[in-house]
Amino acid sequence: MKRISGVLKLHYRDKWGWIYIPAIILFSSFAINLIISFLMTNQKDLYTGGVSSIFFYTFIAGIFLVAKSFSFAIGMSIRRIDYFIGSSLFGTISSTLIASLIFLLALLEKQTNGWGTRLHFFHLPYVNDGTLSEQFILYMIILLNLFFLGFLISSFARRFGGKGMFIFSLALLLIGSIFFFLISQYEVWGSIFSWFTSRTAVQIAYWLVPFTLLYLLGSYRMLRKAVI
Amino acid sequence: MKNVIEVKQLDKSYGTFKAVHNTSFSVQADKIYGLLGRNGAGKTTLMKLITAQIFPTSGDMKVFGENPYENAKVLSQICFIKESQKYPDLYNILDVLEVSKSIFPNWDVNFSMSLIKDFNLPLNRRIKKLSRGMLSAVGIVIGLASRAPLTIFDEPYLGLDAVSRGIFYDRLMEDYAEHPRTVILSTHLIDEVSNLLEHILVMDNGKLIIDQDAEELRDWAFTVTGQTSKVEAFLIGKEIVHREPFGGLLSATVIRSQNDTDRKQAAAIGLEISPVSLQQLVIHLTNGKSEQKGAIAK
Repeated sequence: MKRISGVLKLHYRDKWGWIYIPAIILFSSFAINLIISFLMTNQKDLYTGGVSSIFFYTFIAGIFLVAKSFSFAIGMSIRRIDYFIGSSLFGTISSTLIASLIFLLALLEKQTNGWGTRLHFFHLPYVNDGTLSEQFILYMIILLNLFFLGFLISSFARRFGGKGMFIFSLALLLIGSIFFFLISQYEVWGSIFSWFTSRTAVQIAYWLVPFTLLYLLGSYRMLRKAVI
Repeated sequence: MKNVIEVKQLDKSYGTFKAVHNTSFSVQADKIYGLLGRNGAGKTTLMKLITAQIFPTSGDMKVFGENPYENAKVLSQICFIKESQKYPDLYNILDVLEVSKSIFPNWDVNFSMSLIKDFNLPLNRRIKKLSRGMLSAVGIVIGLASRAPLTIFDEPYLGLDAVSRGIFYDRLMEDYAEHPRTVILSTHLIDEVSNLLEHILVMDNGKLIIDQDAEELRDWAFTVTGQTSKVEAFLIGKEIVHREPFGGLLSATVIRSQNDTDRKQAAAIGLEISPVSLQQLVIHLTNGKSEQKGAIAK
């Protein structure tokens, strides 16, 4: 347990990467949009996708996490499994905090009628259509999925190096091309779109859960055999 | 005495290159070991294997009686400070100390702070902005203050000035006296540390060529000087690692001798015997010339 808490501390000490930079990204985007909405004199609503920056950042943070800290952690005699558990725990805690923050801000935005300027930054149609618990679950699922996808990618890079990463990317590109070619060939785009549009945001998000678990499993298998 | 490390026929290959080849040795508890050898001899690879940072190709390895890989009991007793240790980009020195405190069970905060003062380290400076010498000093602080039962220093003082190196030796010996532990020191500055070392391991081209007590090693090798013909006669049947003629004289370094009888024999025929420094010995043994074999064949 001491080692796992050591790993948590190891990540937490990097306050720039985990607190300051994401906060700056999210709130600078919000501030700019707020100013624009304030300056807009027509009575229209302003919709922005600015909140997606924090989701994107979570993905990037997952990638950087292993790159930044794995060598250091193993060099400090930490077991790979402790590093994995500690880092996953850290990602989960961070995702929960971010989800709570944007959940509360979305609520506040709704209550204040878009901060008094009809800005839709946090509270968006479709995304925030569900019940309150559904909205929170949606945030959690997406953030965790993105974090652990990033985590998987950098664990893979750690395990197989740049060359392995390159080969894997090529393989993925090839498989993707074949996949999309087949979809076009058999004309199933229409049914795919209607599958998505007939479901609510959180219903689609549930489908990400098994993928997230697969990422976790994959990351652990990579890190177990990773060297420094 | 209890063995902290036991290694049997350890191999580590990268493709066809054998970084560590058929290496067997053991390390006893609470002694200071010197792991010496040239660049690329396999020292760092060997230490990384022992600490489970990389995996052996074949062979058997026990640290504190167990396989170190993913072994909390073993790894929590190890502190390995390597010259190439990476730190997270945005860390400052204080961050490193705080994390070390929460990882190493025997961490001594007061000791770490007094070391920071000794080395004049700025606590709030980013690791990335430190000079090479300061970076080495940070590693030394971690290595000493962690008080790990097995502490390994790999080239701990790259870029460190002579004063700081002196501080390192002093603090190491002081703390070692109060808190005995096993220390493995890998370095090129052999003369500086030769007095500290109790046991010497020398690696060359992935193989362990010397595994001896430091005291015994002093008797194990010596230099003999005198008239060429007399020296040549004396050298017959002995293992020679170095010979240096000047004028009508010859000076030769002999290893693996039966010291007492050899010395008496040399004195009887008027040859001068002098000790070989550890540094000289390591240079002779690892300079890549195949002098030894030729000499034995004579």
